[in-house]
Amino acid sequence: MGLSSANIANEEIQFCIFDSRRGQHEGQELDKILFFYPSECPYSSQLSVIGLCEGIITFTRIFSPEAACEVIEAERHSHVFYEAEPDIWMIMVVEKSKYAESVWRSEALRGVLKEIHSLFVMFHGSLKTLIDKQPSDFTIGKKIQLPSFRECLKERGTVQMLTISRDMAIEIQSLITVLGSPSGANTTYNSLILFQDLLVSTTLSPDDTANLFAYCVMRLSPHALSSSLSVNSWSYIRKSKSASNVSTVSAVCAASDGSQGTSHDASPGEQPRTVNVPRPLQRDKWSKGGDGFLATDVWGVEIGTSLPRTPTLWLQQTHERTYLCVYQYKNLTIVLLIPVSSLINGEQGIALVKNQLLENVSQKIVNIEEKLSRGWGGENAYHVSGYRYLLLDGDRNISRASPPAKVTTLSKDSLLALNKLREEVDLEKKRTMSDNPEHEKDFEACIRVKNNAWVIAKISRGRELYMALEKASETLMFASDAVEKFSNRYCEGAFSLD
Amino acid sequence: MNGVAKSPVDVLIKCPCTGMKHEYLSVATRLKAALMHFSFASDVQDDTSASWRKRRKHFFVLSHSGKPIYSRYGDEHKLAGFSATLQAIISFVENGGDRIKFVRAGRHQVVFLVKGPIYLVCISCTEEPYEALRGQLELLYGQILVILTKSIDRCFVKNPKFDMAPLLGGTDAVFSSLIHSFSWNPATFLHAYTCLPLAYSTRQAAGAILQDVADSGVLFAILMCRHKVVSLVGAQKASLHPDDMLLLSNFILSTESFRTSEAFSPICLPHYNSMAFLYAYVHYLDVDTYLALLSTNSEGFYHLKECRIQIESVLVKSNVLCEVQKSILDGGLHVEDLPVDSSLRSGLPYPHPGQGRAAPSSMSEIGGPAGLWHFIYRSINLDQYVSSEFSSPLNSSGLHKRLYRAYQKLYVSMHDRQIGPHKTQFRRDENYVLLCWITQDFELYAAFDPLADKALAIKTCNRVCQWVRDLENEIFLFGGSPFSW
Amino acid sequence: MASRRRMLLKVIILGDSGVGKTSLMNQYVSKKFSNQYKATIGADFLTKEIQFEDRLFTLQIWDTAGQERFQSLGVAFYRGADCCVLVYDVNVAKSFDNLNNWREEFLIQASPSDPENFPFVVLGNKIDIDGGNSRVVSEKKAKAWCASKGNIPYFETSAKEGFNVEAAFQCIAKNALKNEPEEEIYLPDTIDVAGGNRQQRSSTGCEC
Repeated sequence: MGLSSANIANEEIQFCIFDSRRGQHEGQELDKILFFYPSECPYSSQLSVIGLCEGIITFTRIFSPEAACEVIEAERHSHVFYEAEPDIWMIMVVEKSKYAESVWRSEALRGVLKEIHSLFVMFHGSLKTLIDKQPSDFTIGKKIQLPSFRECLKERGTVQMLTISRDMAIEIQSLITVLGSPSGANTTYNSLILFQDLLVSTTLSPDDTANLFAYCVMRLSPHALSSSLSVNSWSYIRKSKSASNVSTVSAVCAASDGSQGTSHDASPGEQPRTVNVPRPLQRDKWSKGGDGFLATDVWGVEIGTSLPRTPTLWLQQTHERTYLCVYQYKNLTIVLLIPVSSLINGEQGIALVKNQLLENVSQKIVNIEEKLSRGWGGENAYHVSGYRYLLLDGDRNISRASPPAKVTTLSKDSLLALNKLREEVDLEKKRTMSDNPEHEKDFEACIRVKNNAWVIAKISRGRELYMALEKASETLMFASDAVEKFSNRYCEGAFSLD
Repeated sequence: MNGVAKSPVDVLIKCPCTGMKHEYLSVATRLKAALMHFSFASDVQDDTSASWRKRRKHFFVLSHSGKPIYSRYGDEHKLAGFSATLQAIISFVENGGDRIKFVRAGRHQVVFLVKGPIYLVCISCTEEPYEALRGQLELLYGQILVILTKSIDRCFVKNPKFDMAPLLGGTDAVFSSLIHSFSWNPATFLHAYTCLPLAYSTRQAAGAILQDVADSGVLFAILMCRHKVVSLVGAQKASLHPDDMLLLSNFILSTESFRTSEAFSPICLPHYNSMAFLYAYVHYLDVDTYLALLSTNSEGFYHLKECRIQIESVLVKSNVLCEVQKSILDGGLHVEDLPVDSSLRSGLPYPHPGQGRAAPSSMSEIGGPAGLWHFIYRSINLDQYVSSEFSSPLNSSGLHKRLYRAYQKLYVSMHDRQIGPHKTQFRRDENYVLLCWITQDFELYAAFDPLADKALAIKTCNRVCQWVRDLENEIFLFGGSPFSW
Repeated sequence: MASRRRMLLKVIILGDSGVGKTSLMNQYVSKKFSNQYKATIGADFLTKEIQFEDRLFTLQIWDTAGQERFQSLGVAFYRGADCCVLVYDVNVAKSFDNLNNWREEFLIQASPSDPENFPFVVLGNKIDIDGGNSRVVSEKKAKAWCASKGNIPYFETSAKEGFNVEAAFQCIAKNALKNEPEEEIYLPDTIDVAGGNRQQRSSTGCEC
């Protein structure tokens, strides 16, 4: 916005972060801008974009002081807003190209912003803390793929779980217990276990789980490690179509001030040295060592050695910094989180923990991995023939959906219709949330589209089901019956009539 | 004859000679200014007032220079700064090579519409969909055209400082009535009109005399009862767009002085010809029924008066007016009267004392069969709709409004611009079960009790369609000129 | 009692940043919320009602930001302006020199029908700074420039006092009254029955 067409050229997206408390005085407006992509964009244009957004934020406050501005829709662009932290705004500007592929759902776009922020906070702490310490240019390294209407059967910010038998669950629970209580320590370690790109278990809060899970799928899972050469790095968009329906943005800049605040190295009075600022979202930075543990040099190396420093991250739930230890055996990835405060001797302590782990549980891990692999249904494990679906369990941030390869068999009209229906449902959900927050939303919509497909949305008891049926017959009753069958079989009847 | 306005705020009533029009403008605007100076002094309704900010639905009209033209709430002048802000936002985006459509913040939406030098904005927390609010702004613009025509654009070209507000002096009632109709009149989103139910022969009689009149040089002859059509005839190839009809009848119904004496007023029909005036002769035949004769001839008053006299006498002789009055009282379709078979009755969620065939609704039974509460049936070919009467449990205007908003959402959902229209929709939430069908020939919108059974609801909808078809001669207007646009 | 309708006047305030436009306006309008949009959209928007003789005026004041990045918004912002107020700081020579540019820029972007006679007003602000000792632009010099540009009315002001701002706006109202156009009859076309040419009806005497 406010850009001359010469600057926009072929870019379909702009992304920025600004702090509305800063740059209040004339001549200092640029102080506001924490990040802007593309960085080549001239400052006057950057200020134009931010000026419009701030102006609209001010304007909407007149009528809606409690709820902040969410989106500006214009004929050629959408501006999606996310107030990541008080007064810190993230804005995504997407261009609606002439091609019908650029159809977005603003909640899906906002989900991208939320994820970027959550991941950032997980590794670096809150934006506010960093800004207050030493404000300067800094950002995130990330490849953003915008969720078009073809991704309407996905939900960012959720985890996908592996269904396991009761026996397996018991075995895994005992593994978790051993992992969590290392000998000699009086703290418990948190853990996250993945099988391929699916979550097996977690001891973390839902939010921490979702963040860490997203990162694992992006960078740590076996698939992530092996697909370093492929263009599309996200496992759930494995077979995406040609680039026309996917907008990619590389937003990779370094923090220039080294304000990383790693608690375990700097001591007062020490000479400030150039700290290597970790950029954990860079690609191809993790590799598996001979001992089965994943290692990376993103966090730099220990002084005096060439050993990589163990990564750390923040847990929201406990507000503490933990070491990130990742062990991988074939399809099984185990993430162990060791509170930094629990180890006095840093890297040496970590090495001890790792050895203990190998001694105590490596056999267990092998057994579990073998059993899970045997029982694994493959890529189409969660495919249900005749249905294309997305199931969401809002309480626990869990989702399950038809495999992407199956979703692409849906016609464009069906996907557009489902995307539109999801947009309507987004609004419905917001409405009930503000009307009756305690009351559980109950909602259902079944639409027969022009091409005769049925698109369906159902919300019941905190869960959501979205579905497209292309092979269903013409009648509403038949489509309803199909949903009922699905609900009974796979959702414990959550969406069935009483 | 004296067409002089009795009411001081009436602007456009004029006597047959154009010379008097100018004076009336001044009288009206003078008086309005005086009223404002006194009555609004204590009621500071501008953008700093909390009560003004809390209004659920604002409408603003401003010029492309930012000068306020109309505001639903508050004093336009006191909102001059706010009006400037709206223009600045629109201009800022335009300056960036784009056109702003809407902004969403929580439950609020700010919707923008630019029509040449006239900007229209709606700020609403009613959670109506964007397409619906935009359609309402289009109608608001259309209402301005009805009063001024699109030649108003020229004034802005000649003089960007042009202050349009005085030309709309005295028409506040027209705009507030239109805005109010967005919450109760389905015509505002269906873009179709509705008829007063009448026996076929009765309507034929009315149509015949209107046709004679049309043949004598009247462009349109319209016989209305409140907002429903009794009969409607257009000369030769002339066709009347439902939106034009809506705006015209809103204009007539909300201008008090039309009721008190016959009137002859310039009006514009935007879809027919947006640049120029037609002349409307309007006369009330009884308290609810009025006749509007439209002509291109600004000197046509006496001729139209003659026509009216002729028409009135025929209508009285053939009892049309009596029939109309009867129909107001108990015409209309009631869902309780829907002819059904017992299989549907048994599906009712409410206990009832062994009812079989259709009978007048008893107190123990709420709504129609299978929990049907209300429906709207729209004939696509005729551009007319019929809407059932309201009865228990929908017996407050708040509930009616809520239902219309639900229908409106459903309509927008079904008529998606990119991939619509869809064929069927079933929708259920805590308030209703809604069913919508769209075929080549008709659209049906039906609302049921939220616990209604799906299969029974479908059966009931089929019965409704059949019922409407059975009664079509009474509820729709057939024949006359082809209405194609 | 006002016998005629209130007049709405769109007034643009122009001048370099730092000359004190905003404090002047805040003083004058005493609006509770100020500085809302200037840094973002490019102007703050104020409403002020004044009375001149027996007429009421509503002033729609556009307090514009000076920055270059808002320059291209001029056409839209200045459109339909009834008057333009040029402000400079008597202690900053450059701000006075720039008045010429501001005036010309305004006339180009607003393109009024009669640019020679477009009503401007000039305000020399901050006369009270340092007891007047840091003043570099004399009243004489300023008045001379104003005279040369078609006798632009000139006022010296300070945000502290503010009273001369009132006088300046009274002057705006006065000029607007002088130039008030005759109330024109609005006459759109009527449709010719023959369907051919359009004709404009002219008003004749009433014969009823």
